[in-house]
Amino acid sequence: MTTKEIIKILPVSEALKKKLFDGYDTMPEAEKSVLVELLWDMYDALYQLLLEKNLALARIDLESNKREVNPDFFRAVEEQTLKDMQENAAKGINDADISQARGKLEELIQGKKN
Amino acid sequence: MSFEVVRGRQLHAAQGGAEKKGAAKNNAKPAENPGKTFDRAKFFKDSGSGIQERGRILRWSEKVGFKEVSDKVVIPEATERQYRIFLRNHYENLAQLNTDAPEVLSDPRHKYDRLLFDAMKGEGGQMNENNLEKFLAQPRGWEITTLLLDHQIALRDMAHGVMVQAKRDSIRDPLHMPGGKATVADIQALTHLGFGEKLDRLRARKFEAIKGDALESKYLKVMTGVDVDDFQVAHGSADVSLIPGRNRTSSTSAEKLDAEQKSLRRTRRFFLKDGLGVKDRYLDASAEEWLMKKHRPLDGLRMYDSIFQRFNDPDFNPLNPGGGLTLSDTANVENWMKAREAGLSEMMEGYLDNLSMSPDVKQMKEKLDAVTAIANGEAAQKLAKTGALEAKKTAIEGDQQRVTKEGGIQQRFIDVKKQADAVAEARKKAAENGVASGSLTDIETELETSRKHLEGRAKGTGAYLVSSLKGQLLAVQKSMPVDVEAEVTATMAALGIGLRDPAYKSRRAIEKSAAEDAYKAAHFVPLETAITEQTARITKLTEAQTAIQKAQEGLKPGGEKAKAYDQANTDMVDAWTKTTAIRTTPPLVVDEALLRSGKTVDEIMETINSVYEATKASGTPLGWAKELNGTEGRRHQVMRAMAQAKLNDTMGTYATTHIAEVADRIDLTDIAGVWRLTDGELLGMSKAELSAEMAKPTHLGHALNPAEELKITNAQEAAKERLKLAAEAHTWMNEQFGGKAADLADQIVVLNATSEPVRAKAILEISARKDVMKESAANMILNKGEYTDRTASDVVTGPVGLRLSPEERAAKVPMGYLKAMQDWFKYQTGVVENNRLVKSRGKRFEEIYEAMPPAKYAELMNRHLGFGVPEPRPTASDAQKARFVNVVLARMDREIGTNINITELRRAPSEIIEQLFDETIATAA
Repeated sequence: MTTKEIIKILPVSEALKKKLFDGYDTMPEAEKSVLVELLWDMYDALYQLLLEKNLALARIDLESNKREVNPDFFRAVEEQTLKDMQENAAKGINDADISQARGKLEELIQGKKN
Repeated sequence: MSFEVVRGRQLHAAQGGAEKKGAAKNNAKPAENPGKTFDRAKFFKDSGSGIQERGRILRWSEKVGFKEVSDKVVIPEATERQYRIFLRNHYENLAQLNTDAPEVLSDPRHKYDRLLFDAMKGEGGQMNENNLEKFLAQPRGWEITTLLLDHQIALRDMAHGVMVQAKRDSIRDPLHMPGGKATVADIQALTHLGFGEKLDRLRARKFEAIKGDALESKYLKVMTGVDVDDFQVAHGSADVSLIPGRNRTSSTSAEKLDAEQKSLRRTRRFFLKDGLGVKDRYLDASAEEWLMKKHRPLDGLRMYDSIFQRFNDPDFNPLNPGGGLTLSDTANVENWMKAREAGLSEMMEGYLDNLSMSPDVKQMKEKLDAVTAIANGEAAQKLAKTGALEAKKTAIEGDQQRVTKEGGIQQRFIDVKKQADAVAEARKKAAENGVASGSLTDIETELETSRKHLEGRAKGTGAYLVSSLKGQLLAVQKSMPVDVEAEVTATMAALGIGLRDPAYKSRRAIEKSAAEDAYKAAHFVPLETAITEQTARITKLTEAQTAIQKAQEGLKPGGEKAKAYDQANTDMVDAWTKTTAIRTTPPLVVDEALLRSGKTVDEIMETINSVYEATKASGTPLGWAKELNGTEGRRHQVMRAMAQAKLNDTMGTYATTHIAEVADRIDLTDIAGVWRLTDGELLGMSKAELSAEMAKPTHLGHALNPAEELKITNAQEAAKERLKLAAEAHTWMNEQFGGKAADLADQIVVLNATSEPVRAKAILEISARKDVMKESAANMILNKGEYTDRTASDVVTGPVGLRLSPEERAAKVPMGYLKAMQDWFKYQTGVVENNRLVKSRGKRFEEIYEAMPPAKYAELMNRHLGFGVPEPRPTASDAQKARFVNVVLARMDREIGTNINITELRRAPSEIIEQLFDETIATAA
């Protein structure tokens, strides 16, 4: 996962994502430094939320006897969360790329029409 | 307030009270209490593989980082107050339990409750405040209290959850209470964040198990007010409901339980965060809280409101039960997390849209500008800085001289202590020879008695008395021939051997020899032994007498040294009084805390100068102007005041356990009192001598009565301790100065070793690559071996070795360091401009090596990954530094991917860059 890729999966509007993504490489250094910080903190926060969600769901399973507390309980939930996170990120990046490609295609088509 | 301040009052009274007003003002001001201080090792142990928790309660702390690595843990007063409140309340509950169900406290599961109850119990079963004090004076007391606190939090959390789930009338989730405002604690309570607490909660949640356990049910009832008989649990499920017909239950309210558990949670948090210095991010903070604190785009309540509004919006969350949020339903969990994600999104959307205007960007720009200016700065800047540091160091070393040189302010205390020790030693010798008092008068009396016993004559008389030992010896020597002759004659007669017997002569000779031996053994030997013993005793007593006389020289009443010592004490108290009277009004305060802070004389004078500047316009300025800082009088005043402040502290501690000794010394040395003795006299004279002294007219002729004689012993003890502590106070001050001078020497070494512009340029490079450094965190876990490789670069073989430049080989650095430097600086490709290599890999490495040597890299990782490995001083040898680097790399090898996760690895570069920025700016300031 790269810093720029996080922009693609940020839970913010598409317009803002585009603004950040396009401006990233030429952004003033101070701004970029803060953005980098924020993006990774946000990424970690999203991971944390996912972990908490998985823990809450796992607890429901515990209470309904679908799983048992054992020494690997948290490790298993963490591993599952990492996997989910990677899948979500891959999907988000893919969707963003498709959307970007579609946008470019539309621009091209528009250009040809004009 | 400590004893020494009282002493100050006494002196002012004697000096006509000229400074009494100021002193009284100081006395009235409560001393700043920095809080209880313990060794960190009492809470955490260094097992060689890092700081680990000592007790069960801190097990999670294996991966904990501290705000700063210190040997000490200081518990803030506010935290202690919270713990005391908890302990008092908990004791009341335990006392109730002891009355209602004593068998619960005997149960091994409640051994810590039992331990606490027994430790606190006073007369009549009431809690004894002194016992509470003793309990919290030990690290173990804090540990046990935290353990109990955790248990009580878990119990209340469990009970609250059960009650909410049972949908009892009038019980609403705190988020839906009328007028209720959601807080961070609400979020935590509802989402059950955090691993450590989570495990406890899961265990405690087994309400059914408690219900089936009579002892635990009683415990729960007394501790939380929850009656298990009010609820039923569907076997095998987590469904809890009110037992029909028990709508008006005997249980406490859920609101009360919730409030209690939040309050306890805050108390626990205070201890871990403000007391032990555990970083925020390990305190089970929620994701929202971390982001909110870090970037502050919205205030917390607005963000949480937005989360709850969404969650309660039927369009967003059709499953919302409309009253009470429980995470027992899968869909509800999904929606709750979606609401949180949306809340985060909203928070970030606004912030990112105006990123360039944010205070964080402004602050970062200021730092970047400052470091850029340094990177472009001239060498003169460094020279000026070095010069300033040298001047500071010289000033401190001058102050050290003022303390320790011949005739320095410490001299009197050391001299008198040596003398007092010599007097004590001589008295000990006298005591070994039967003069317990050690008084010169008693020794003289004993010597006279011994001499009489030995020689039978008093001083100046010539005749031996027959009764003396030597007289007796002379007498038996004289009578021996006659007595022996008579004895032999009698023996020969008894044997029937007459004169004519051929064997008579030889036999008589044998008998005579035997009779002489027997006579000597019976009469000479005991006397000779007694004479030898008595002679030795006289010798030792004479030696002790001489030693005492010599050691006492000048310490007797009116003696030169006693006077000088008393003057040194007076000077110290006067200096303290004058200095602490300068100003006690915040924000500029010159008080005990400042004097004891370990600051240098110049640093303390900075505050005094500021007071002067702040008050000079008034026409009656306090303190003094900076220009006067160099005068000997001012410097001596501040140093003496520092020593006295330290002495106040240590003597105050002594006074808590030696109340009588301290009180009696005050009584005997009060110069406005009856006895008016001095410390010098107390130290130099024996009890008998002091008794005699006090009967003299100089001391108002008031002799102590026998019952009061204990006062002398007590006062002498306190005077002796005070002398010892005063000497130590000066040593402490000297050590503080020494430490500061050594720090400055280190800074000068660092300054001289590294060119500031070079370091600043390197830091700007690192800062620009922060994104890459964060991205490489995953690589650090996947390829940990490369980052922790301790193989020296000069012995590496194979393709890796072949690629190394001669400069990298010559540096003999660990390969793990080179790997990290490549991440940080991308130096291995050299510098390419316009498709032309303008700087080779080797030359580029040399720059990196100067700006970020291995020891500096190791220091940064050590601090920001929270290892706590003792760092070498900048002046340490190369071998010591190399050892440190290897230890840190080994710790990284062990802990990355286990105790240190990817999030922590990703956060480290930000903290490292921040530290480097701050260091660079501070060094250039």
